[in-house]
Amino acid sequence: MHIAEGVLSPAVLATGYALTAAGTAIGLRRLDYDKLMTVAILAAAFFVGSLIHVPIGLTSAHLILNGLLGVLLGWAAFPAILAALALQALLFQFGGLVVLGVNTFTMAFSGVVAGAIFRGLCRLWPTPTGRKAAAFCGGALGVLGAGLLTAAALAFSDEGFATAARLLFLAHLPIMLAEGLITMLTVGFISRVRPELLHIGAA
Amino acid sequence: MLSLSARPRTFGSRMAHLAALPLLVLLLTLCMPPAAQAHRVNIFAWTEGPQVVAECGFNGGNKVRQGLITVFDAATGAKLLEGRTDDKGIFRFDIPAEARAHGLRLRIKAGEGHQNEWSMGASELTSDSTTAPTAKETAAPATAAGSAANTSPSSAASAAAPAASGAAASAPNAVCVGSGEVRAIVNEALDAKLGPIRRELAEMRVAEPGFREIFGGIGWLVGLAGLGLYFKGRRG
Repeated sequence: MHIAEGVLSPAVLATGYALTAAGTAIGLRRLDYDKLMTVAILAAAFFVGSLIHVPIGLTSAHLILNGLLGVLLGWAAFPAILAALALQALLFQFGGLVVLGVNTFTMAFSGVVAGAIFRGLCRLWPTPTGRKAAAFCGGALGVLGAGLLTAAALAFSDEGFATAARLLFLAHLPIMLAEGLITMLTVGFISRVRPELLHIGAA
Repeated sequence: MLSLSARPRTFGSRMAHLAALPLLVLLLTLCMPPAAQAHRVNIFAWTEGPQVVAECGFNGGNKVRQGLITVFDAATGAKLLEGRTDDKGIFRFDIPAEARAHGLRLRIKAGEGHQNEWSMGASELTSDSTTAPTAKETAAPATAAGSAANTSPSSAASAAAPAASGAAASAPNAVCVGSGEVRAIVNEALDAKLGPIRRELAEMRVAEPGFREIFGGIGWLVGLAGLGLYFKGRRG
């Protein structure tokens, strides 16, 4: 989901940076002292998760984990993903600094939306099973949203929205399911060990 | 009542679906064509005789199939030609005339925002293109000299080498012929030998991130959090 440099027009790049700056500002304002280490750990998880390619069948896939970050961090997913992507761009030339804004926004905003959906579902369906289903949806929708937003960014390049969206969706279908499962297991574990981290009762 | 009794059953079936998901994931990925799911696309190109060979792959190890390669004039930016890679991610084309003066810029578009470029200097392209025509031009005189040597009765098989050197000394054209041919042959042999090494070099340049980089990155993130904690702590 990293868009390479030189694909997007300056207008899209600038919009990406503006939206990322806004999201990061919100995320940093809502970030409290106790949560800072959680953010760093999850940023590291995001950083590593998308570096390690797991060979499945003929293809190799990697995790994105933006849904998990959105579910666990809310708006603080923005600074976490921004830091992790900046490091990936600097250390490995994945994406690149020029497109960092767009790439951060596509992954972080979809994560935040997935987190909101997770909390909404948890309130609608306040049972352990409901929480599991909500976590699965959160993880899977994070990937789906990132794919849609990436396709939307690409719609302004010469590759059309429909083609890009279809390709991205097909490529990420297994990732969506895997991340749904991972998010479900992680949320299940955290709700047993440290339920206060989930902020389900609160915002 | 009906709805209450129906609910647990839907829960149960949903949980069964969830349990079957890993299997489904595996099946899906096995059925799917190798997808373009990677961080970045790599392109590298080298010359093989009068042709440029470009190879494209994703850094997961998959080759770019049917990726669009566009070739630009490096100096003017004019589009020279374009084509698609085959199933091995390889695209070949003859060196365009403009490239010998200006050099080339190759751009691969592999879809989904994956794009990369590779530049080739004019010197890299001209070194082969200059030898190719001279080899062709000198081919005719060379065979003429060869036939002349064959027709002359004095050249015995045992004295072939001195006779050739004598002919070379007497006819300066023949020296050029010999060196041109030798250069072409050496170039060909070098291309064959160096091709894999060039490819390996290019692949090394785009190697996968190793443990060093990964742990370095984690260290950075934890360090940033530590900085944040320090400043927040100082503020109280």
